[in-house]
Amino acid sequence: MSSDKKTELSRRDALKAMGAGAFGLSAAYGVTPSALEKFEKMLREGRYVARFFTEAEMAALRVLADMVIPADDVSGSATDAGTVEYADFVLSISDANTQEAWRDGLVWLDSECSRRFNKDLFVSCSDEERASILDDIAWPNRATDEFIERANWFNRVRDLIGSGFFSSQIGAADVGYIGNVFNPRWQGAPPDALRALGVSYEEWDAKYGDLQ
Amino acid sequence: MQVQNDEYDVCIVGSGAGGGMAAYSLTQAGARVLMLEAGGPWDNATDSAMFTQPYQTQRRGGWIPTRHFGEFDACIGGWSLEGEPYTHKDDSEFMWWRARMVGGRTNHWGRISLRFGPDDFRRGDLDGLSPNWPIGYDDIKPYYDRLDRLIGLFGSNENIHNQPDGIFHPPPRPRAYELMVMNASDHMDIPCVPARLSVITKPLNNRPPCHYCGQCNRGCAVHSNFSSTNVLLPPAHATGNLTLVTNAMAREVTVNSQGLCDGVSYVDKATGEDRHVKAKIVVLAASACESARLMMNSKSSQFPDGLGNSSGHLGKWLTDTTGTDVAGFIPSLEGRMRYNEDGVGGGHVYMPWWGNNDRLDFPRGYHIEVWGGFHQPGAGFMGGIHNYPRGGGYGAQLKADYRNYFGTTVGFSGRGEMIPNENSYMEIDPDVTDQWGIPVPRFNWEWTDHEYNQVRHMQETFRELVATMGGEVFSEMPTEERGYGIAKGGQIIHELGGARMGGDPDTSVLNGDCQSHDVSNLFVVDGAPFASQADKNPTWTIMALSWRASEKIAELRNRGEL
Repeated sequence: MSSDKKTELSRRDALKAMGAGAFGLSAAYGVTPSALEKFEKMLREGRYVARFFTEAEMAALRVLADMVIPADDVSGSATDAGTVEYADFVLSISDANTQEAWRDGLVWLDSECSRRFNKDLFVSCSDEERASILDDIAWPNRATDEFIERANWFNRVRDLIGSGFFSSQIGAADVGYIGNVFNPRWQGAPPDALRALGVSYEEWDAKYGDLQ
Repeated sequence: MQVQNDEYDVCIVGSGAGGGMAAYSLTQAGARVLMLEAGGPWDNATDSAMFTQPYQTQRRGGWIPTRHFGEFDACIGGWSLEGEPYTHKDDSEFMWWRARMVGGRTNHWGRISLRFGPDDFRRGDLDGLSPNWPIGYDDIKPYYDRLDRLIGLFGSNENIHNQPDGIFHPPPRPRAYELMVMNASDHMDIPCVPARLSVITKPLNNRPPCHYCGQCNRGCAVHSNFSSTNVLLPPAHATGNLTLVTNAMAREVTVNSQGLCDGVSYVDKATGEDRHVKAKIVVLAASACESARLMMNSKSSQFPDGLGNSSGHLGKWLTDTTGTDVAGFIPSLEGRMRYNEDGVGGGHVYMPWWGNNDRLDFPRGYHIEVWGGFHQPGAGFMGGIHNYPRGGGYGAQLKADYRNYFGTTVGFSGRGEMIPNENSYMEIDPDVTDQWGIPVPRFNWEWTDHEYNQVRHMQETFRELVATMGGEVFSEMPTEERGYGIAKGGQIIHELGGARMGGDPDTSVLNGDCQSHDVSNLFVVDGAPFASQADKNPTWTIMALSWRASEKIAELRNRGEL
């Protein structure tokens, strides 16, 4: 991402705002500002200690996550956005069945690499080899009977990595969410957006008036 | 047990819509009021997470045990509370929501503020499936009007049958997709009009108008929406007549030798000690099931079946709103222009009931709530993206799909009227107590064909709405075996009844003033007095009933009758 510096700055501003107390976070929200700062420092310095996954699982997940959400010319990748650490946190507070399913899926990925390519680990495979496995499980409607259960697992992977990426600061900017701000002069959608959808406020305003 | 010798005029149990309203009215009438709240303090000005971005926490706004609607949601509580179980009869299913904080459930609700209509009070005459209320719309209308002026809400006067108009602030313009919904509903001859939410769009009583950050549910730090803590408790405190005790779990309403209430015993949760407060009048506003539970647990030689239960109807005729949802993908919204689409924390439009029951296989009706748009990305963002036309995948294509499909979902939620039935009730479980040794409710719940047929109609209507918008529904029509997708009892969090009002003391617990038939200084002012539901969210009516009952209390006190 080209605007790392800017991201860091606004993140610091955000942390400052959180500490300021006006709309500050308390321990009730799962993590205190100081705990979050510590967490982010560990991420920056590459010494995050996983809460749920093993080191080997984390390594496999990093590779998998960046296959799900790779970097492109708009934004960084899943790992750039701390998505794997987010997934680890979510799994650490998930129920036992969910935890078991995730672990089981990662074991299956390794065993599939061994079966197809005679390699022990998903991380030891080439990009093409890994992609050939995902191609069999990433399209639930097309998955054959042999892979349908794994396709269901991959739905979970996609959902958690995708939501983890797009709920990060990098991802929210990428997808273009620009709300949750003080916006006292609500006017609805801008004229260009209305025109593109073939709707207008004419009738509404005539009936109910324009608030502004 | 520690006994406080100070005697209050009124002890109110609960600080939500009903309790907050009673405190507002009674303290201004000069009564010295003690309010017991089972949860802790809360102040939206300092405690709200209004402007928190999900990436500011490790949980990204997701579910946590004490906040089932996400960690930023204002409401502390949920369908399960540690140390406070409840049970079910046989394999019956019911989900019991409890809020544990000052302001109660007014910290949770969607601010939909609909008046019950004239028909809703006289269903006995109209279809005979539930009794008439002992009061009518004309009795309650002045209180609705005063609520509108005191609390404020936006909306529009539409002159639709049984959907009374009010005194509204101007409604905010709809979002673009809501205009599309209005066109589709127009095509289907379903009225779609401005929503009625207790969010102010003009200044009112020193509260600023809404700033459209879209996060009403987190608690409004500047008090532009309604909660008991934002609007009702500050003026009550200002009288100097209100004493609020938090972390006070009511155990029992106590009675004297004349068979009148003389106070409330409660557990101080901080110390675990039992305490007792004396009061001349007791007003229960602990939520429908919690108030019924408290009365059932207040047994004495004079009231062996529970306080105010000579009719045997305490705990009976419980209802919840019916609910089901349908969401669809609208292709014309793909890849659309980005802008701030937040608006208020809820739909800007809704569809009041329009049907003619003579031509339907169910009685009464429902309203439709509309949702969609560019939601703030947080935990669970665009979950199930494989259900969109692309069908899943990964990599550059998937990343582009998230951008392309963002804001293309439109959803409809039906909220309908359940008919009270004799198999939906609560009683006290003889074997189970909570962590303070207070016996807990045991629920029995049953929907009937009235509700199932109504929910099937919702599903069919919503699917047609999506299709009319050119969209595709994500899910198959739920089967009869799955109850056509009906929500579980309690899931919509509109429990009403349990201490219903009525003209006949043999078949009802309270009279039309929310006063116990058996115990003249006991009043219930939450959802428990409702003789029937309506297809309207109950909060406005809870407050109107509470205000009316509070004025009746003041009047009786002035006349020396209490």
